[in-house]
Amino acid sequence: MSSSVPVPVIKVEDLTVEFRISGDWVPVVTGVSFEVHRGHTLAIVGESGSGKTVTSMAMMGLLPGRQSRVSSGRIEFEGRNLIGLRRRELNQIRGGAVSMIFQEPMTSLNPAFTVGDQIAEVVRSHCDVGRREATRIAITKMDAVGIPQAARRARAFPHEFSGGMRQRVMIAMAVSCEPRLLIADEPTTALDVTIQAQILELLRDLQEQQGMSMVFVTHDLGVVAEVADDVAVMYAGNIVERAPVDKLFANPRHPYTAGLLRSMPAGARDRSATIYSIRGAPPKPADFPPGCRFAERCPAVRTECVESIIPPIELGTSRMVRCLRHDQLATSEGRDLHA
Amino acid sequence: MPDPNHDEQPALAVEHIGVEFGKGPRRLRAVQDVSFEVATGRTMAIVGESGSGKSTLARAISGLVPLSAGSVTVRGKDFTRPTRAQRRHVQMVFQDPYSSLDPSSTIGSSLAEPLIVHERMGRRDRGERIKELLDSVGLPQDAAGRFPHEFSGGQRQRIAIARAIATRPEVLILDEAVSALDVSTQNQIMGLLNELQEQHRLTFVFISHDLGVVRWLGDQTLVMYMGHAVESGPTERVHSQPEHPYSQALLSAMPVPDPSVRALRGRTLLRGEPPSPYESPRGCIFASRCPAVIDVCHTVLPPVRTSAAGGTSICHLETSGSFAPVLQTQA
Repeated sequence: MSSSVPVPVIKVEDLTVEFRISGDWVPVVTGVSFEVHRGHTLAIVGESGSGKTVTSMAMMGLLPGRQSRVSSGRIEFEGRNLIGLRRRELNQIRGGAVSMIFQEPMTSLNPAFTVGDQIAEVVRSHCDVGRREATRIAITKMDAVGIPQAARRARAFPHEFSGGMRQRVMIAMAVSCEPRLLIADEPTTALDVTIQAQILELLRDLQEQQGMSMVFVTHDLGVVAEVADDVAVMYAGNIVERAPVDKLFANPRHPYTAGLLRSMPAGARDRSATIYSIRGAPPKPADFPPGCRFAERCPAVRTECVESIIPPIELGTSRMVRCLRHDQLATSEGRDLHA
Repeated sequence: MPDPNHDEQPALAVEHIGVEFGKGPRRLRAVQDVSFEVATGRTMAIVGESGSGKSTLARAISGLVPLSAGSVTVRGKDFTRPTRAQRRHVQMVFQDPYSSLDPSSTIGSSLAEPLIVHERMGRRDRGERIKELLDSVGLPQDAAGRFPHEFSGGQRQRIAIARAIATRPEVLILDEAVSALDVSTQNQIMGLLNELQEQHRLTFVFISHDLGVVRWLGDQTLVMYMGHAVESGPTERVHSQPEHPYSQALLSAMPVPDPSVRALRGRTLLRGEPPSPYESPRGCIFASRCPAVIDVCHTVLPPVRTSAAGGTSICHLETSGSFAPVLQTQA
């Protein structure tokens, strides 16, 4: 281990994002902090409405201007705060050193241009190359992401590609300028499981070749186990637990994480037994309680949980949990809380 | 409760059914020669990827799409071209509870509709039955006076299930019924389905792309690829010892929620994508992507093989043992 601490590729510190909901500014993401080092993958996992996509959009400066605002916090890319940058400065970084892929590849591509032109456009706006060179790079990238007959397919339009091939086109575009950070928001959710396996393998290969870091947003714990080095679990706008992937799965310290892991269908049904499920539903942003946001559904809840904001509690250097009773979960007795 | 094995007659029998859309060169054979039976109170799970024909199969069984071949029998009675009066015996629950409920009708009137159409029930009886239905899916009585937008996704799916069982159907077809739900809600609905099946001896046809869910709910599993049932059998057998190369690839592609096995597992990555559904290859439908393909696969339709461990698989290769090593080298 070197003695100097390397600068993380991306560092998010105490990020709070508010949305205007019927006239009022309501925080939908609060106090989110994490960092990702070179070549590493952080998975942000959560259910719908947990704030995982808002967090990734904020990192790219893609939140809708009038309805939302970053009310506090920093987003540092290689030491430079992205919040408050002008659009022109952001555009230098977005699509170049930092790029993003989304769930729905069809809506992210322009149906009126060939895919080759669309990739070449990204290349030209970030690298000092001519049209012909940009097209050549586009074809090389399409080849690299496993699109057969890339030179011919570059002249085809998005509708001529299948879902899996379109996502490859998106990835080719995203990695065309060799980004140092790739933000992937549910990139395989719309795809079939056999195609998902291909795309995950492709992302792993690209990461190895280019040493890029990834923030991988997903709702699927199976995918998390496949891709992540570290995991941040989001619930109701907070990161409730952050840990290295093996530690998180083997020994969750937040009752919500433990509940999610127990909710994974495993094996055959026991018809006479009841299937485990977390009772109730998550609160909406306007109804976030003052104390722990999971308290209402938590099997381990105590009076002190509902009284005030639960601060992030660091457990060693690599783990964080927002739970006053995290010690209970560390023991087998704690795991029985979910029985 | 009587042992379901003693029911001579299956609740649902599907024999050699086919579904086609279009004509001539635009003819698409969405389902080809699919057969299976489901015993009363049991679940047949149908898995496959998009375009495999699993939803078309569901619609064909419930009479929403006409069959081009074969027959459907519900508790011994022909259901191939169901009459209006017969339709109540087979009901469906769809993936999206947002679009399958009328946004301008209260939950009460959505639930009353099948009771009026199929049971010709009077107002008072309807009220009683609606209370009973809401109760059986775990919703409060005051839900009847509210509108769909007032409910969460999981609650809406409960409403859709209540409506589907309103006419006491023999068979319930669930088409990706838990796929749009978050994990925690998904388990609540699966628990409800389990309970309803146990209480009312309901027979399920459960269609899903999610192999974990299928393994939990299905007694039998049928794997579809390009309109064909390539493998079927007892769920545990199909999941733990899949015999068809496509089933093997599908199962090995499923992400495993355990980071410690990530480095260890040999995975069968399928190359390429499914062929065009308009083309009907002469031989095996899976030949173009099969990692264990041999010459005969391209020219001759594969035979139906009976598995020693239960069920069938449609493949030229003798046993799972003979091509398992071939698959492992692909990992």
